[in-house]
Amino acid sequence: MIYFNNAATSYPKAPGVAESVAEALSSLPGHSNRTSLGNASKLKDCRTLLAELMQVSDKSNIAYMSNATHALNVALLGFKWQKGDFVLTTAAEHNSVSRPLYMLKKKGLIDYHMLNVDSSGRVRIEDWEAALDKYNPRLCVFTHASNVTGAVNDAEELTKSAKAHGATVLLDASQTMGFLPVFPEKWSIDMMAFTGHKYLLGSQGTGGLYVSPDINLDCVYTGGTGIRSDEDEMPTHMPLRLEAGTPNDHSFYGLQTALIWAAENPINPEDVLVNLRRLEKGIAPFVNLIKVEGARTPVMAFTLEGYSPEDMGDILSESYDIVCRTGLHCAPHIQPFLGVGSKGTVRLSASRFTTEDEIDKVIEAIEEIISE
Amino acid sequence: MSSFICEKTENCFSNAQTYSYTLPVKLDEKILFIFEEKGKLTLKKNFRRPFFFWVYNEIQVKGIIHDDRMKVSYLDGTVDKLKVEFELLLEEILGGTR
Repeated sequence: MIYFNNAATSYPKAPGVAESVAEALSSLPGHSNRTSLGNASKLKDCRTLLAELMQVSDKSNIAYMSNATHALNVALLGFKWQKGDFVLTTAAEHNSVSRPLYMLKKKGLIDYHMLNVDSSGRVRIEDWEAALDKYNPRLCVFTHASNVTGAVNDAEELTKSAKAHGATVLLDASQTMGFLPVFPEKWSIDMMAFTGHKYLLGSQGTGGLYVSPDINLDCVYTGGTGIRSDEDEMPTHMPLRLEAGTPNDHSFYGLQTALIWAAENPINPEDVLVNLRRLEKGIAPFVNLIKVEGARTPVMAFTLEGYSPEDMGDILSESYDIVCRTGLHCAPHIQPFLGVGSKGTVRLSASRFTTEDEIDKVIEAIEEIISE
Repeated sequence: MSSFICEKTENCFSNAQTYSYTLPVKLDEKILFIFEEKGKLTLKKNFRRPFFFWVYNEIQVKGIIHDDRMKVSYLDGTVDKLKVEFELLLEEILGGTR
């Protein structure tokens, strides 16, 4: 099989991840969050590595989550909303942002505006500024990169504008962490959600939420923490405040291995994008590509005359053993801006492990499909 | 009891009415010939694994030729009536080929 669905989850994982998860599963469990003579220290090593990657000065500001959706829900549902609060978001958001916002609005807790994006799925800074002026939002939440087109937003610039308008900023870095630099502290981002199983090359079931020391979230989840069990309230300190319940130690042990490997083998995004551009150039004569200029992740989307995205996905997988993703990609609101129909797009997403040979095979397949 | 296994498949769309059918036989030329008699059959023999599309009574069917699986999509609002009819036809076609 040729795997082109890395924007959903990466494959293969970093070398050693599977072995680490297996090793953790077959080892005697430690006592999470407690100082013991066991092996509980592994998890903290992963947090340290994440902090180093994000250039976060205090690793305790990073709470472990099951995935980015979990992190975004903890941030959005735990935010201390006040009557009349307004949220500015964008049409490029994944449902992991859109659905919690919709639920909060339905409950009467907030109202929000979903900002239009350009035809590549990127936020225009002038539109952002105008919306900040118009809506005076208490919170801005936006994706660092579109999971449909790969277009990267200038998170630092958008944050700067939002902060100048007095808004709190929540960044969804699901599509960029591990591929591009993401520095929440340096960029003055208040909260940032990420996942461990995409470009960080860890296993599913891992992710996190960076929370600036200036933000005090209500606990969406409460429960066992292994410490301070004699108190009714959740511990007030981070990260434990947001980490109720038994953690997914095994998978975070795998993520730790992925982070160590990536630190030893730093990614050059340009190397991956060279492959993507080669793919784009190869299939451009045959498909309707969503054009993306400037900063991007190794993701591309297209439609094809005569075939629905779903048909195309079935053909690629069943006839050519090429795994891609079709449809709305859990980001339904972006579709009208891309000029595609209601059935969405075909998405191909590469990784640092994608080879030239694999790129050629996809080009050949698409050429063959349209040739009859 | 049906000679095939039918399972609903989900996709992005809440109104999708798509089902995966696993047949007791492979979709060979004999079956495709019957498909062609009853609806619009499109063969894509140049694909690495040759593919077919069959439209019958607004029902869209697709799959790999010589495979035992096919995907069937019913238009929203028609599934209750058309699925029963289609499965009766499918049973008849399969019965005639064994």
